Amino acid sequence: MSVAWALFVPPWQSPDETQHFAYLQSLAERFELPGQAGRPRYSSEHRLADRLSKTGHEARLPGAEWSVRAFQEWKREDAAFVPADRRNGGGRNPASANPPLYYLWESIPYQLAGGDIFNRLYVGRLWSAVWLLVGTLATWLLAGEVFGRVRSLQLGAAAFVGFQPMVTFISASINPDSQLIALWTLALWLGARLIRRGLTLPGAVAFMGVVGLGVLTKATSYALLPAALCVLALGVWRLRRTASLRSATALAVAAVLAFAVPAGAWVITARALHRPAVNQVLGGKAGAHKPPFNPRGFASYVRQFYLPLPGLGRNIYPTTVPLYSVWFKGAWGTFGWRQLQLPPGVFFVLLAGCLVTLAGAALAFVRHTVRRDWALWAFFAIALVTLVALLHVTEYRVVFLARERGPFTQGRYLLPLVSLGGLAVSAALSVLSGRQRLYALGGLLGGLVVLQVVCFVTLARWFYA
Amino acid sequence: MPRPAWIALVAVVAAGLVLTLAWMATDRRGFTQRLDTDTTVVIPAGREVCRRSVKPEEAGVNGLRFQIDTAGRPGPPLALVVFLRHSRRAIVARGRIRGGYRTGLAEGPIRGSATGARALSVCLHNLGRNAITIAPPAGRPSRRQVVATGGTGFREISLALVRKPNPTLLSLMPTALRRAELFRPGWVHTWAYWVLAVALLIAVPGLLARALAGAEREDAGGGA
Repeated sequence: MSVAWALFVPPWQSPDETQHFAYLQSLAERFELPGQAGRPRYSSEHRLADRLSKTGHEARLPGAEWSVRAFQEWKREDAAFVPADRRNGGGRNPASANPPLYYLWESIPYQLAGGDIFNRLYVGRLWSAVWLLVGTLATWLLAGEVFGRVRSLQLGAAAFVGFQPMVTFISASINPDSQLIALWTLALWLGARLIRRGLTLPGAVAFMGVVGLGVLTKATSYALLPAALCVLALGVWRLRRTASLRSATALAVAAVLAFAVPAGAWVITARALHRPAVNQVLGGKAGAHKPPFNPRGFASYVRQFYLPLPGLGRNIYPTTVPLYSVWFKGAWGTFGWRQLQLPPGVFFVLLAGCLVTLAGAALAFVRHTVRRDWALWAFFAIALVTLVALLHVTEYRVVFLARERGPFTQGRYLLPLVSLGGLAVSAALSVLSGRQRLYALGGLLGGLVVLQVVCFVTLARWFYA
Repeated sequence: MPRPAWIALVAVVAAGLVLTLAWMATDRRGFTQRLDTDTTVVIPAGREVCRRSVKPEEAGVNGLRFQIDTAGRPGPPLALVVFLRHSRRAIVARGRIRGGYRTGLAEGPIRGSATGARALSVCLHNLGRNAITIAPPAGRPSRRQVVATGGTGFREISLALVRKPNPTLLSLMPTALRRAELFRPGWVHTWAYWVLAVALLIAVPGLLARALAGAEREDAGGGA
């Protein structure tokens, strides 16, 4: 399925893929991070492919280039390129502030695949899709940790992640979110494991190391840090009965170092290279007059995001309910750039399914079919709240203070927590007994397959038909 | 004896596929997208007028249609040009309306790919010796009249984006898969998509059914 996503989506038509590929090319061809002033943003090879495929960073209208003649023209012009035409990019681009881990990972197939730019792009996508397998497996393990060794519940959670359309779409793209989703899922599993089984040195080092790798993938992963530190603190606290203070402290220090070494290495490297270690909110249209963060303004923005009701004062979302149009639709089926979405009817079916699932999960808590391990659920809740808060603060700064551009937040930014959706599915299934559960699971798996089919038809309709 | 759980999976897949096929069989891909204004634009002989910020809602635009007043004379030939954003250097489609038409709707095919940007510009060049008037569509009153002067000018001309004929999405799928072969690595061919489609429709449900049966067996053998 990942192969189908990787091959069927036109070149550059996953969010910001043009910029991510430019980063990758700069790293793989010159072993230099992009963002150097005075250099073109894209290489000559990249610009030609972008222009003639008509699916590059500017392409928001329906359709792709259908002309065989244009493809032949690209082949002819591309054949005339020399290696230097791949190396003359590396200028500033919105992705250039990202840490390099994902792009280093993608450099492997880039170097091994060789061939023309589309060969390197598509082999890179396939390589990236490996993270979907990692994320799916980690969800299966996470569900096992939360619900015990109940295969039907583990299967339900893993299938939800493995078949979630936006996860499959993003994972099969050149996009660090692919790795990010998998690393967050791994971190949630390792964190749950520490809460359930107690703190051990290998477990704590692996857990914090994965969080560190997440930071080295995308700065968004700093949002995982508060939850991770809570797990660590809880583990050390529980250790007081069985271990000495010294050994507990040593264990905590080792775990913190496992995070600090990769994260710190990047911060030091970025400083040495005079580049930001995290994405910066620049001046935008506000320029030097960018106002300071205003808590009242931020609270008003958050209220309008979640309660855009008339009669509640100034409303910045007059025609949409962002909870649905941004979070829900964006997390389920907004492919490529914002215009390409699943048909409206499909969203309503999905919404109904999600509401039933959430109701079922709530019932599972009431009926105790899910263990009430509050530490575990607090861990998940802290991760969720911190990520959402970070996204809102960023949007407020980007849109309302810096006035850089229009809406920043997209539903896909919640995908690092997709495994929690898988847990909700499993919790809802746990309410059902024996055969009922298996029939419901069978129906869920069938529905996920159909959803994938509908996604491919939607893509075909938009780009090729 | 209870039915195995994979029957639920197969039933949902089958029902979903039937609904999807019904959607594809009834989804017609031809369309006419009207971009109406209340401005009347006079285009003297030799002049060109363009409309910017044209955003097709569907792929495959292959014709442009205008409401033209020829003042009783045979209409002059018109050149049609579509380019990305506002830059004439990025022409993506060209076409022509032959001369000799009368006052009313005049339509011409365009060849190329009217896509590849956030918006397009559409230009109409009067190649004849008589002026023409691009009017709002019938039934919509004109509130403003402008005359194209100088070289290329951007005006609010009324036009319609057209796609003909009107095939179903289902009938276009083989063509769509052929198109998806372009701008891909040399090893990606149309047949690969057919293989992947079969895998998605048969192999994936098959593997899921097997996983479901395995889960059923293991849970029955001592799970919760």
